[in-house]
Amino acid sequence: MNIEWWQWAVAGIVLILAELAIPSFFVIWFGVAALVMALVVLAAPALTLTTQLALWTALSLAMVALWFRVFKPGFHKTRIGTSAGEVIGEVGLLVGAVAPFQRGRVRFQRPVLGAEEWVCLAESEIPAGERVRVVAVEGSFLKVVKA
Amino acid sequence: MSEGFIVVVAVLIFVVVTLAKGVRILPQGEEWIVERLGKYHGTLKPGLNVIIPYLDKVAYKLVTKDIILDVQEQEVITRDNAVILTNAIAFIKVTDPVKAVYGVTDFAEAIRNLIMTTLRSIVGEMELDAALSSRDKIKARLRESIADEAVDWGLTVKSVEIQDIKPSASMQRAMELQAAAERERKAAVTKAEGAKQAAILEAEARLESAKRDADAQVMLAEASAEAIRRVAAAIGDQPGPMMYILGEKYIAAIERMGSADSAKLVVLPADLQETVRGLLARGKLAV
Repeated sequence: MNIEWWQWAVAGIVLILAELAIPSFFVIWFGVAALVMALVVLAAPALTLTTQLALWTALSLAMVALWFRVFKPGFHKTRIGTSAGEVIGEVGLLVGAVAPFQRGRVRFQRPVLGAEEWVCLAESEIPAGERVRVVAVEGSFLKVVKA
Repeated sequence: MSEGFIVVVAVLIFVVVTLAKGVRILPQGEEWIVERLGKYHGTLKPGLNVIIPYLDKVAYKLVTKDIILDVQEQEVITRDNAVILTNAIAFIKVTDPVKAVYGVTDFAEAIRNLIMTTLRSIVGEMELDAALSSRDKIKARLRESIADEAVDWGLTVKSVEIQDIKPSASMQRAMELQAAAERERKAAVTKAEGAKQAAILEAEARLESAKRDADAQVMLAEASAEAIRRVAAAIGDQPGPMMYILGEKYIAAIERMGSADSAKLVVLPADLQETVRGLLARGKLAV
Protein backbone atom coordinates (compact mmCIF):
# COMPACT_ATOMS: atom_id res chain seq x y z
CA MET A 1 0.00 0.00 0.00
CA ASN A 2 1.34 3.35 -1.01
CA ILE A 3 -0.13 6.81 -0.80
CA GLU A 4 -0.25 8.95 -3.90
CA TRP A 5 0.61 12.66 -3.76
CA TRP A 6 -3.00 13.69 -4.38
CA GLN A 7 -4.14 11.65 -1.41
CA TRP A 8 -1.84 13.75 0.77
CA ALA A 9 -3.21 16.93 -0.74
CA VAL A 10 -6.85 15.93 -0.12
CA ALA A 11 -6.04 14.81 3.40
CA GLY A 12 -4.34 18.12 4.03
CA ILE A 13 -7.33 20.13 2.83
CA VAL A 14 -9.71 17.99 4.89
CA LEU A 15 -7.56 18.51 8.00
CA ILE A 16 -7.43 22.26 7.46
CA LEU A 17 -11.23 22.29 7.11
CA ALA A 18 -11.51 20.17 10.22
CA GLU A 19 -9.79 22.97 12.11
CA LEU A 20 -12.95 25.01 11.63
CA ALA A 21 -14.98 22.35 13.40
CA ILE A 22 -12.45 21.53 16.11
CA PRO A 23 -11.67 24.77 17.90
CA SER A 24 -8.30 23.86 19.32
CA PHE A 25 -5.79 25.09 16.79
CA PHE A 26 -3.55 22.14 16.18
CA VAL A 27 -5.20 20.15 13.35
CA ILE A 28 -4.39 22.93 10.92
CA TRP A 29 -0.64 22.21 11.27
CA PHE A 30 -1.21 18.58 10.39
CA GLY A 31 -3.15 19.76 7.36
CA VAL A 32 -0.44 22.17 6.25
CA ALA A 33 2.16 19.46 6.77
CA ALA A 34 0.06 17.08 4.67
CA LEU A 35 0.00 19.63 1.85
CA VAL A 36 3.78 19.92 2.07
CA MET A 37 3.95 16.10 2.00
CA ALA A 38 1.98 16.12 -1.25
CA LEU A 39 4.71 18.23 -2.81
CA VAL A 40 7.41 16.01 -1.32
CA VAL A 41 5.77 12.82 -2.66
CA LEU A 42 5.27 14.48 -6.04
CA ALA A 43 9.01 15.21 -6.17
CA ALA A 44 10.14 11.87 -4.74
CA PRO A 45 7.50 9.12 -5.26
CA ALA A 46 9.89 6.42 -4.11
CA LEU A 47 9.56 7.22 -0.38
CA THR A 48 8.09 4.41 1.72
CA LEU A 49 4.90 4.95 3.68
CA THR A 50 6.79 4.72 6.97
CA THR A 51 9.18 7.46 5.95
CA GLN A 52 6.29 9.56 4.69
CA LEU A 53 4.42 9.26 7.99
CA ALA A 54 7.55 10.02 10.02
CA LEU A 55 8.25 13.04 7.84
CA TRP A 56 4.67 14.22 8.23
CA THR A 57 4.81 13.97 12.03
CA ALA A 58 8.12 15.82 12.14
CA LEU A 59 6.81 18.55 9.82
CA SER A 60 3.70 19.05 11.94
CA LEU A 61 5.69 19.35 15.14
CA ALA A 62 8.11 21.76 13.52
CA MET A 63 5.25 23.95 12.38
CA VAL A 64 3.64 24.02 15.79
CA ALA A 65 6.97 24.99 17.33
CA LEU A 66 7.45 27.70 14.70
CA TRP A 67 3.97 29.04 15.31
CA PHE A 68 4.57 29.37 19.04
CA ARG A 69 7.73 31.37 18.43
CA VAL A 70 5.83 33.76 16.17
CA PHE A 71 2.70 34.04 18.27
CA LYS A 72 4.21 34.74 21.74
CA PRO A 73 1.38 33.52 23.99
CA GLY A 74 2.35 35.91 26.76
CA PHE A 75 1.42 38.96 24.75
CA HIS A 76 -1.88 40.68 25.56
CA LYS A 77 -3.37 43.52 23.62
CA THR A 78 -6.02 44.23 26.22
CA ARG A 79 -6.58 43.18 29.77
CA ILE A 80 -10.30 43.91 29.75
CA GLY A 81 -12.22 41.04 31.30
CA THR A 82 -9.16 39.49 32.90
CA SER A 83 -9.04 39.00 36.65
CA ALA A 84 -6.48 41.67 37.39
CA GLY A 85 -8.07 43.79 34.75
CA GLU A 86 -7.06 47.21 33.61
CA VAL A 87 -6.91 48.43 37.19
CA ILE A 88 -3.30 47.46 37.82
CA GLY A 89 -1.10 50.47 37.17
CA GLU A 90 -3.91 52.99 37.49
CA VAL A 91 -2.75 56.15 39.26
CA GLY A 92 -4.95 57.79 41.88
CA LEU A 93 -4.80 60.42 44.58
CA LEU A 94 -4.59 59.37 48.20
CA VAL A 95 -7.28 61.21 50.16
CA GLY A 96 -6.73 59.33 53.41
CA ALA A 97 -3.26 58.52 54.68
CA VAL A 98 -2.28 54.86 54.53
CA ALA A 99 0.14 52.92 56.70
CA PRO A 100 0.94 49.20 57.10
CA PHE A 101 -1.75 48.77 59.73
CA GLN A 102 -4.04 51.57 58.72
CA ARG A 103 -6.37 51.58 55.77
CA GLY A 104 -6.34 54.64 53.59
CA ARG A 105 -8.60 55.95 50.88
CA VAL A 106 -7.65 56.48 47.29
CA ARG A 107 -9.62 58.49 44.74
CA PHE A 108 -9.43 58.08 40.98
CA GLN A 109 -10.07 60.52 38.22
CA ARG A 110 -12.47 58.11 36.56
CA PRO A 111 -14.31 55.30 38.31
CA VAL A 112 -12.31 52.12 38.69
CA LEU A 113 -14.15 48.80 39.14
CA GLY A 114 -17.41 50.62 39.61
CA ALA A 115 -16.40 53.19 42.21
CA GLU A 116 -14.41 56.38 42.34
CA GLU A 117 -13.12 55.93 45.85
CA TRP A 118 -11.60 52.78 47.27
CA VAL A 119 -10.24 51.73 50.60
CA CYS A 120 -6.58 50.94 50.10
CA LEU A 121 -3.73 49.09 51.75
CA ALA A 122 -0.02 49.67 51.45
CA GLU A 123 3.24 48.16 52.63
CA SER A 124 4.72 51.52 53.54
CA GLU A 125 3.45 54.72 55.06
CA ILE A 126 2.12 57.22 52.51
CA PRO A 127 0.68 60.59 53.59
CA ALA A 128 -2.59 61.90 52.15
CA GLY A 129 -2.33 63.95 48.99
CA GLU A 130 0.29 61.73 47.34
CA ARG A 131 -0.21 60.09 43.99
CA VAL A 132 -0.33 56.32 44.25
CA ARG A 133 -0.32 53.45 41.78
CA VAL A 134 -2.45 50.32 42.10
CA VAL A 135 -0.40 47.13 42.27
CA ALA A 136 -3.05 44.59 43.26
CA VAL A 137 -6.76 44.18 43.85
CA GLU A 138 -7.54 42.40 47.10
CA GLY A 139 -11.26 41.92 47.31
CA SER A 140 -12.75 45.29 48.07
CA PHE A 141 -9.38 46.84 48.85
CA LEU A 142 -6.69 48.07 46.52
CA LYS A 143 -3.03 47.66 47.25
CA VAL A 144 -1.08 50.77 46.31
CA VAL A 145 2.48 52.04 46.15
CA LYS A 146 3.77 55.57 45.82
CA ALA A 147 3.65 56.56 42.18
CA MET B 1 3.66 -4.44 7.92
CA SER B 2 7.09 -3.59 9.21
CA GLU B 3 7.88 -2.72 12.83
CA GLY B 4 9.09 0.68 11.69
CA PHE B 5 5.69 1.51 10.27
CA ILE B 6 3.88 0.56 13.48
CA VAL B 7 6.27 2.66 15.57
CA VAL B 8 5.78 5.64 13.28
CA VAL B 9 1.98 5.28 13.47
CA ALA B 10 2.23 5.07 17.27
CA VAL B 11 4.39 8.19 17.36
CA LEU B 12 1.89 9.93 15.11
CA ILE B 13 -1.01 9.05 17.40
CA PHE B 14 1.02 10.17 20.42
CA VAL B 15 1.80 13.53 18.80
CA VAL B 16 -1.82 14.09 17.76
CA VAL B 17 -3.23 13.26 21.18
CA THR B 18 -0.59 15.26 23.01
CA LEU B 19 -1.14 18.32 20.87
CA ALA B 20 -4.92 17.96 21.09
CA LYS B 21 -4.83 17.85 24.86
CA GLY B 22 -1.93 20.20 25.34
CA VAL B 23 -2.90 23.19 23.24
CA ARG B 24 -5.57 25.22 24.98
CA ILE B 25 -7.12 28.33 23.53
CA LEU B 26 -8.96 30.51 26.06
CA PRO B 27 -11.41 33.19 25.02
CA GLN B 28 -11.02 36.66 26.46
CA GLY B 29 -12.91 36.94 29.73
CA GLU B 30 -12.02 33.48 31.01
CA GLU B 31 -9.22 32.14 33.13
CA TRP B 32 -8.52 28.52 33.84
CA ILE B 33 -6.90 27.00 36.86
CA VAL B 34 -4.38 24.27 36.09
CA GLU B 35 -3.41 21.64 38.61
CA ARG B 36 -0.21 19.63 38.20
CA LEU B 37 -0.51 16.28 39.92
CA GLY B 38 -3.39 17.58 42.03
CA LYS B 39 -1.71 20.76 43.23
CA TYR B 40 -2.30 24.25 41.97
CA HIS B 41 0.18 24.96 39.23
CA GLY B 42 -0.89 28.02 37.31
CA THR B 43 -3.61 30.14 35.83
CA LEU B 44 -4.14 30.12 32.08
CA LYS B 45 -4.79 33.56 30.58
CA PRO B 46 -6.83 34.31 27.48
CA GLY B 47 -5.17 33.27 24.24
CA LEU B 48 -3.06 30.29 23.27
CA ASN B 49 -1.76 28.17 26.13
CA VAL B 50 0.19 24.94 26.32
CA ILE B 51 -0.08 22.45 29.13
CA ILE B 52 1.45 19.05 29.59
CA PRO B 53 -1.53 16.71 29.13
CA TYR B 54 -0.24 13.83 31.25
CA LEU B 55 0.67 15.91 34.30
CA ASP B 56 -1.57 18.92 34.11
CA LYS B 57 -5.30 19.07 34.42
CA VAL B 58 -7.59 22.02 33.86
CA ALA B 59 -9.42 21.87 37.19
CA TYR B 60 -11.60 24.98 37.03
CA LYS B 61 -12.78 27.32 34.34
CA LEU B 62 -13.60 30.79 35.63
CA VAL B 63 -15.37 33.68 34.03
CA THR B 64 -13.52 36.85 34.94
CA LYS B 65 -16.06 39.23 33.48
CA ASP B 66 -18.42 40.96 35.86
CA ILE B 67 -20.93 38.49 37.21
CA ILE B 68 -24.52 39.57 37.70
CA LEU B 69 -25.73 38.02 40.90
CA ASP B 70 -29.44 38.02 41.58
CA VAL B 71 -30.16 37.95 45.28
CA GLN B 72 -33.58 36.45 45.69
CA GLU B 73 -36.45 38.13 47.48
CA GLN B 74 -36.58 37.60 51.22
CA GLU B 75 -38.62 38.69 54.18
CA VAL B 76 -36.86 40.98 56.61
CA ILE B 77 -38.12 42.10 60.00
CA THR B 78 -37.29 45.66 60.95
CA ARG B 79 -36.57 46.90 64.47
CA ASP B 80 -40.18 47.96 64.94
CA ASN B 81 -41.38 44.46 63.97
CA ALA B 82 -42.62 45.28 60.50
CA VAL B 83 -42.14 42.70 57.76
CA ILE B 84 -40.71 43.98 54.50
CA LEU B 85 -39.68 42.21 51.32
CA THR B 86 -36.34 43.02 49.75
CA ASN B 87 -34.28 41.70 46.91
CA ALA B 88 -31.00 42.91 45.56
CA ILE B 89 -28.70 42.59 42.62
CA ALA B 90 -24.95 42.50 42.95
CA PHE B 91 -22.20 42.89 40.42
CA ILE B 92 -19.12 40.97 41.39
CA LYS B 93 -15.86 40.27 39.64
CA VAL B 94 -13.32 37.56 40.24
CA THR B 95 -10.06 39.40 40.88
CA ASP B 96 -8.10 36.48 42.26
CA PRO B 97 -9.06 33.24 40.51
CA VAL B 98 -6.98 31.09 42.85
CA LYS B 99 -8.72 32.33 45.98
CA ALA B 100 -12.08 32.19 44.24
CA VAL B 101 -11.80 28.47 43.54
CA TYR B 102 -9.80 27.30 46.54
CA GLY B 103 -11.11 29.73 49.16
CA VAL B 104 -14.74 28.73 48.97
CA THR B 105 -16.68 25.91 47.34
CA ASP B 106 -19.04 28.07 45.32
CA PHE B 107 -18.23 31.73 45.44
CA ALA B 108 -21.40 32.90 43.70
CA GLU B 109 -23.61 31.01 46.12
CA ALA B 110 -21.45 32.13 49.04
CA ILE B 111 -21.59 35.80 48.19
CA ARG B 112 -25.32 35.58 47.49
CA ASN B 113 -25.96 34.11 50.92
CA LEU B 114 -23.66 36.65 52.50
CA ILE B 115 -25.55 39.49 50.89
CA MET B 116 -28.86 38.03 52.03
CA THR B 117 -27.82 37.69 55.66
CA THR B 118 -26.06 41.05 55.74
CA LEU B 119 -29.09 42.73 54.24
CA ARG B 120 -31.24 41.13 56.92
CA SER B 121 -29.02 42.35 59.72
CA ILE B 122 -28.72 45.89 58.35
CA VAL B 123 -32.45 46.28 57.81
CA GLY B 124 -33.11 44.59 61.16
CA GLU B 125 -31.41 47.49 62.90
CA MET B 126 -33.56 50.06 61.16
CA GLU B 127 -37.06 51.32 61.73
CA LEU B 128 -39.53 50.59 58.95
CA ASP B 129 -39.71 54.16 57.71
CA ALA B 130 -35.94 54.55 57.72
CA ALA B 131 -35.52 51.27 55.85
CA LEU B 132 -37.96 52.32 53.17
CA SER B 133 -36.32 55.67 52.61
CA SER B 134 -32.58 55.07 52.91
CA ARG B 135 -31.54 52.71 50.16
CA ASP B 136 -28.23 54.45 49.63
CA LYS B 137 -27.27 54.00 53.25
CA ILE B 138 -28.15 50.31 53.09
CA LYS B 139 -26.11 49.97 49.92
CA ALA B 140 -23.03 51.57 51.41
CA ARG B 141 -23.19 49.52 54.58
CA LEU B 142 -23.79 46.33 52.61
CA ARG B 143 -20.68 46.89 50.55
CA GLU B 144 -18.66 47.65 53.64
CA SER B 145 -19.73 44.53 55.50
CA ILE B 146 -19.08 42.22 52.58
CA ALA B 147 -15.59 43.61 52.00
CA ASP B 148 -13.78 41.41 54.52
CA GLU B 149 -15.08 38.11 53.17
CA ALA B 150 -14.58 39.30 49.62
CA VAL B 151 -10.83 39.51 50.24
CA ASP B 152 -10.67 35.88 51.28
CA TRP B 153 -12.62 34.76 48.27
CA GLY B 154 -10.73 36.83 45.71
CA LEU B 155 -13.84 38.69 44.70
CA THR B 156 -14.49 42.37 44.25
CA VAL B 157 -18.02 43.51 44.90
CA LYS B 158 -18.44 46.28 42.38
CA SER B 159 -21.87 47.29 43.50
CA VAL B 160 -24.89 46.05 45.36
CA GLU B 161 -28.23 47.55 44.44
CA ILE B 162 -31.43 47.12 46.40
CA GLN B 163 -33.91 46.31 43.69
CA ASP B 164 -37.09 46.22 45.69
CA ILE B 165 -37.86 47.16 49.22
CA LYS B 166 -41.53 47.03 50.01
CA PRO B 167 -43.73 46.17 52.95
CA SER B 168 -45.39 42.74 52.91
CA ALA B 169 -49.02 42.52 51.81
CA SER B 170 -50.46 42.54 55.33
CA MET B 171 -48.11 45.34 56.32
CA GLN B 172 -49.17 47.35 53.31
CA ARG B 173 -52.81 46.91 54.30
CA ALA B 174 -52.05 48.03 57.85
CA MET B 175 -50.17 51.07 56.55
CA GLU B 176 -53.07 52.02 54.36
CA LEU B 177 -55.44 51.69 57.30
CA GLN B 178 -53.13 53.83 59.37
CA ALA B 179 -53.01 56.49 56.70
CA ALA B 180 -56.81 56.45 56.40
CA ALA B 181 -57.22 56.71 60.17
CA GLU B 182 -54.82 59.60 60.23
CA ARG B 183 -56.88 61.42 57.62
CA GLU B 184 -60.05 60.74 59.56
CA ARG B 185 -58.48 62.03 62.73
CA LYS B 186 -57.48 65.20 60.94
CA ALA B 187 -61.00 65.59 59.57
CA ALA B 188 -62.53 65.19 63.04
CA VAL B 189 -60.12 67.70 64.53
CA THR B 190 -60.83 70.19 61.79
CA LYS B 191 -64.57 69.77 62.32
CA ALA B 192 -64.28 70.25 66.09
CA GLU B 193 -62.12 73.31 65.61
CA GLY B 194 -64.79 74.76 63.34
CA ALA B 195 -67.49 74.19 65.94
CA LYS B 196 -65.37 75.76 68.65
CA GLN B 197 -64.69 78.79 66.52
CA ALA B 198 -68.38 79.13 65.74
CA ALA B 199 -69.39 78.95 69.42
CA ILE B 200 -66.82 81.58 70.36
CA LEU B 201 -68.01 83.90 67.61
CA GLU B 202 -71.64 83.44 68.66
CA ALA B 203 -70.85 84.24 72.29
CA GLU B 204 -68.92 87.29 71.21
CA ALA B 205 -71.88 88.39 69.14
CA ARG B 206 -74.18 87.99 72.16
CA LEU B 207 -71.82 89.95 74.36
CA GLU B 208 -71.61 92.72 71.82
CA SER B 209 -75.38 92.92 71.35
CA ALA B 210 -75.97 92.94 75.14
CA LYS B 211 -73.50 95.79 75.47
CA ARG B 212 -75.29 97.74 72.79
CA ASP B 213 -78.68 96.95 74.36
CA ALA B 214 -77.45 98.26 77.68
CA ASP B 215 -76.10 101.38 76.00
CA ALA B 216 -79.40 101.83 74.24
CA GLN B 217 -81.36 101.54 77.50
CA VAL B 218 -79.10 104.04 79.18
CA MET B 219 -79.51 106.40 76.27
CA LEU B 220 -83.27 105.92 76.31
CA ALA B 221 -83.43 106.66 80.02
CA GLU B 222 -81.29 109.73 79.55
CA ALA B 223 -83.52 110.83 76.71
CA SER B 224 -86.70 110.43 78.77
CA ALA B 225 -85.08 112.21 81.71
CA GLU B 226 -84.21 115.04 79.34
CA ALA B 227 -87.73 115.02 77.92
CA ILE B 228 -89.28 115.16 81.37
CA ARG B 229 -86.92 117.91 82.35
CA ARG B 230 -87.85 119.90 79.29
CA VAL B 231 -91.54 119.31 79.83
CA ALA B 232 -91.19 120.35 83.47
CA ALA B 233 -89.24 123.47 82.39
CA ALA B 234 -91.83 124.32 79.80
CA ILE B 235 -94.69 123.90 82.21
CA GLY B 236 -93.15 126.06 84.91
CA ASP B 237 -95.76 127.04 87.53
CA GLN B 238 -98.86 126.91 85.40
CA PRO B 239 -100.68 123.63 85.81
CA GLY B 240 -103.13 124.43 83.02
CA PRO B 241 -101.46 122.99 79.92
CA MET B 242 -100.12 120.05 81.84
CA MET B 243 -103.52 119.33 83.16
CA TYR B 244 -104.76 119.42 79.63
CA ILE B 245 -102.27 116.93 78.28
CA LEU B 246 -102.60 114.64 81.22
CA GLY B 247 -106.33 114.77 81.12
CA GLU B 248 -106.38 114.07 77.40
CA LYS B 249 -104.11 111.05 77.83
CA TYR B 250 -106.12 109.84 80.78
CA ILE B 251 -109.32 109.95 78.84
CA ALA B 252 -107.69 108.32 75.83
CA ALA B 253 -106.47 105.49 78.06
CA ILE B 254 -109.90 104.96 79.51
CA GLU B 255 -111.33 105.02 76.00
CA ARG B 256 -108.90 102.26 74.93
CA MET B 257 -109.91 100.29 78.00
CA GLY B 258 -113.53 100.65 77.09
CA SER B 259 -113.04 99.65 73.47
CA ALA B 260 -111.33 96.38 74.51
CA ASP B 261 -113.43 93.24 73.90
CA SER B 262 -113.17 92.00 77.44
CA ALA B 263 -114.22 95.33 78.96
CA LYS B 264 -117.53 95.07 80.69
CA LEU B 265 -117.26 98.00 82.94
CA VAL B 266 -115.48 101.33 82.70
CA VAL B 267 -115.08 103.33 85.83
CA LEU B 268 -114.54 106.99 85.31
CA PRO B 269 -113.57 109.11 88.31
CA ALA B 270 -116.30 111.58 89.01
CA ASP B 271 -113.98 114.34 89.80
CA LEU B 272 -111.53 114.15 86.95
CA GLN B 273 -109.97 117.51 87.59
CA GLU B 274 -109.24 116.72 91.22
CA THR B 275 -107.82 113.33 90.35
CA VAL B 276 -105.38 114.82 87.84
CA ARG B 277 -104.42 117.51 90.30
CA GLY B 278 -103.82 114.86 92.94
CA LEU B 279 -101.60 112.95 90.54
CA LEU B 280 -99.70 116.11 89.78
CA ALA B 281 -99.33 117.05 93.41
CA ARG B 282 -97.86 113.64 94.11
CA GLY B 283 -95.52 114.08 91.14
CA LYS B 284 -94.37 117.39 92.54
CA LEU B 285 -93.80 115.81 95.88
CA ALA B 286 -91.63 113.11 94.26
CA VAL B 287 -89.60 115.75 92.42
